Amino acid sequence: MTDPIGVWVGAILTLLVFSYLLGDTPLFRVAQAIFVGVAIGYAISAAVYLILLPLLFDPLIINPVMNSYLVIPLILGLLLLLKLRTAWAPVGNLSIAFLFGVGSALALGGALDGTLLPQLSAIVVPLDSLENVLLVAGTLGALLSFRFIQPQSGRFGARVVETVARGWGAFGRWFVMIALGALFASVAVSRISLLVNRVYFLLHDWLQIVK
Amino acid sequence: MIQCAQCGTKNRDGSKFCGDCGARLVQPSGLICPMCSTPNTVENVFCSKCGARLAPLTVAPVSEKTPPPTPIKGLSLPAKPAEPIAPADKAEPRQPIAPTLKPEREPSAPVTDTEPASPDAPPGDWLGRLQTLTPEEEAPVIPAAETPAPDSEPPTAEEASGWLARLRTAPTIEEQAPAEPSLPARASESVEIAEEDLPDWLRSSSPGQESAQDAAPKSKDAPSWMLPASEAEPIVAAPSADAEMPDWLKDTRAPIAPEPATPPSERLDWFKPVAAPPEMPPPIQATDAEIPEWLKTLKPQDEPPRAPIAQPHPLADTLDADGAPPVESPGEELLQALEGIAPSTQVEKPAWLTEAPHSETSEDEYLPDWLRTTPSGATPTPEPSIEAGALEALGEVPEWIAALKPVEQPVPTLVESGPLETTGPLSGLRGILPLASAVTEPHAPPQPAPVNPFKESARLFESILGAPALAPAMPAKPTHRAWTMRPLIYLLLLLAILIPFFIPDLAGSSLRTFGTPTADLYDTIEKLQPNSIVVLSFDYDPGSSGEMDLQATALARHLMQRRARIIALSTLDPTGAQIAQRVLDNAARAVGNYAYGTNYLNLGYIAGQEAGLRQLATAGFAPATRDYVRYQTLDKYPNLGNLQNWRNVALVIELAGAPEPLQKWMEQVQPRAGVKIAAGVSAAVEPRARAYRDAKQLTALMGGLVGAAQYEILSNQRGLAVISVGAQSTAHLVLLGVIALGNLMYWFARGRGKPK
Repeated sequence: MTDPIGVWVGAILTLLVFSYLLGDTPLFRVAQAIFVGVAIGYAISAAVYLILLPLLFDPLIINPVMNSYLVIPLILGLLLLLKLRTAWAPVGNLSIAFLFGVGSALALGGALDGTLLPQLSAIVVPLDSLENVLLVAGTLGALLSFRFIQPQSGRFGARVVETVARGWGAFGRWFVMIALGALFASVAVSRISLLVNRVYFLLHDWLQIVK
Repeated sequence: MIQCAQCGTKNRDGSKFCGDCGARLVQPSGLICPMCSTPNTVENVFCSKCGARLAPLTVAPVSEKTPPPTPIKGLSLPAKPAEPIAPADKAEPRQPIAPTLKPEREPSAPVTDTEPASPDAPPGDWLGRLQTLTPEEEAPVIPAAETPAPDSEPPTAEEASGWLARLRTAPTIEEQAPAEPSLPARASESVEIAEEDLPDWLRSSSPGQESAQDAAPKSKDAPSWMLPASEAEPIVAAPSADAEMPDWLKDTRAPIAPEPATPPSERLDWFKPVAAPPEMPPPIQATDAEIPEWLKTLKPQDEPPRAPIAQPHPLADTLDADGAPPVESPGEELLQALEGIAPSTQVEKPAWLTEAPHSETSEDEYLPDWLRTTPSGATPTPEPSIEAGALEALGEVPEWIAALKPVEQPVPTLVESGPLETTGPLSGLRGILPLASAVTEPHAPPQPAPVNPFKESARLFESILGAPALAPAMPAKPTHRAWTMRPLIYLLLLLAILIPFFIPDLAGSSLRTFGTPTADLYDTIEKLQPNSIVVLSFDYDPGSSGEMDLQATALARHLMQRRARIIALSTLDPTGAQIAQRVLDNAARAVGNYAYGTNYLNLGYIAGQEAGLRQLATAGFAPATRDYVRYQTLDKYPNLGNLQNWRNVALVIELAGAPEPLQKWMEQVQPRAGVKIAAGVSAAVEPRARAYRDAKQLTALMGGLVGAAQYEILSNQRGLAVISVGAQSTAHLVLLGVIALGNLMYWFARGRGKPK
């Protein structure tokens, strides 16, 4: 980073954010407000120059006949502006419904094809190693730990199944806890990486005491 | 709802006291019949079982409007003619009316129409009309000192039991008591009552069994003030023989045609026979055997000292004569006749009689000024005990008459029982439960009322909605120990991060690279043919660029070293396009001879999230119509090959700083595009990315700062990632030590009983 102004601005903002270690100080709030404002401004400019102009208005202006179908998203987008007024907000729900409907359909279909079925097929492995056994047992146990049904009683077979399912579910619950612990630890590792990067920035780019 | 009689406030059903003024409420049910104790509803005027009157004749102001013409049956006592006449037949629960007393039903006239009030007399004052007479006409009316005027008796006997006089207030009843449908029929029919139905005192007092019509004089003989009463009601004469009854009393028994505007001169005629002493019937001589004990106790020697009486009342004289009083007036004759026969039944006065206050001035109120002066000139002193004496003289009052007793409007009063609180905030109140009773007496636990679960749930839901939102919990104020420990931890962490920067190869030498997912990614790129098209998706924001930039820089340099053509894009947010351009520009400068538009291209942000990715998977790079840097259409970059489908793409590397972009790539593109996908993710996303890696959905995976360092080592380009991973490792050690030390301190403190 060769821009000295950018380095100084970055260094000062970094120190303002670090002031949160002493509490919710006004310095931190200043840095927070600056970040929010810059992010919103950048998002608006990016939406205009990266989405609206190249994908909507330019095609409509250059070749409106060929791109007449873009009127539909234009109208849907304009309807969203009606949400600004309470009396007209229900009209804007049409666009919201369209967005949610399409998004939900794509998400459900994609989850089935891209996550659920491939992950289920991934546990169909030969139980020839301890890793595979733990993989299968842990996956099934994690699923059984989310079994919220009335405990079965009566026949001997039902009681046996109930006992096995309950025990296996308890075993799977440990897998769930380990997985959640791993997720939390990975987040902590990720944040330490960001801290290291910021310290290196201060020492290398701003103070220039580290090569 | 129960409406408070005092303040009009509506209270809930079952309330005993008014919630506004505290007055006792009259329950809508539980009106007990005084005769048969049958509970009736408050709407009942008469008992539904025995027919006794339930609603007493309330004392209401005499209505000045025209009362409805209602005939009156039952007991007829001399009453003030000016007052409205109550239909006694309506209040008559039984039929103790002698056939001989059955009046002839005639068209009744309103009372007020029959007797216009004198302008000088007070309204309703029957005596006031006497004032309009001339002195000559008044002469026979005004009694002498030793001979009380006959007209002075009727009010005396009547006012002695004022409520009996108000029996004739027909308008009052009509207004205050709802008339039953059967009442008019009962009132209008001629009741033939057997003799055995009569009370004893009526039977004995009417030996002649003469009808009231026979005993009644003609209408012209009746005084005008009697006309309304006699016509509006079937007046039953007092129970006495016709021969023993004075003329003025006979006149009262007969219905008299109304004379609305009788001149005063014509009214004088009726006074002549009434006031004539020779026509008075002989007095009833009661023997000692017939005199009850209660009358004997009224002898002068037994009487308590009374207030000074200027003019002895005739009734008092009668009682003083020990059963043989000289009858000085027809009214006294009637009273004495009643007294003589009263002992045949019980003597005890009804409770309401004993409790009724005796107004000493009530009689005086009816007397005009000119009558208050005796003929001798002496002003008669109101006799305080005259009313009580008269009531006692009446003796036993039948129960059915007692039921007709008009009572005042029930004035709700607080319960005066119980001790009076003298101290505390409840001072001045009575009936407060004593503390001893509250403590010593066993208390039955209140039985829980059956609860409707649905209503309970609804009530709970409503309370939750109505409860104010709880403010977010404020962080606890750090204690002194926290303020001393926290900077120490900060300082330890800072030192752990700083030291590796001064000792560059502290952790890099111990980093394992063989057999890792990062090595798979490195091998995949190594196997790429020159000029292969590789898509780099920069799906992270500046917040995670400190971690992801190291991965992206290492990958870009390696790809450029392999002379791959790089297509950069972003699907998470527009900031990814800017980050991609910065990383690629830096890598191109580092590698050299690598130009934008020729060797690499930035397509910018692909909008639409799942929809944009799905379009990428199905229609190639159609969503990206222009590049991010030069804002030109893609056909301006022929060196980057045909981007209409994924067949020309050798590898896709997803750089995800969050799990969502990776998941979308796996769900929308990977199953449909049929292209190899590798991922470089942050440490936070790596556990979830490993599942796709284990399922062979990801060709290779590089995770976190460690993955970047591994890739730098593998690609022989040691740099910031290797230095940073050393700092990260020492920071992890410090954190582990702090966590372990904190837990040890906690356990030691817990063992000493100080959890904090």
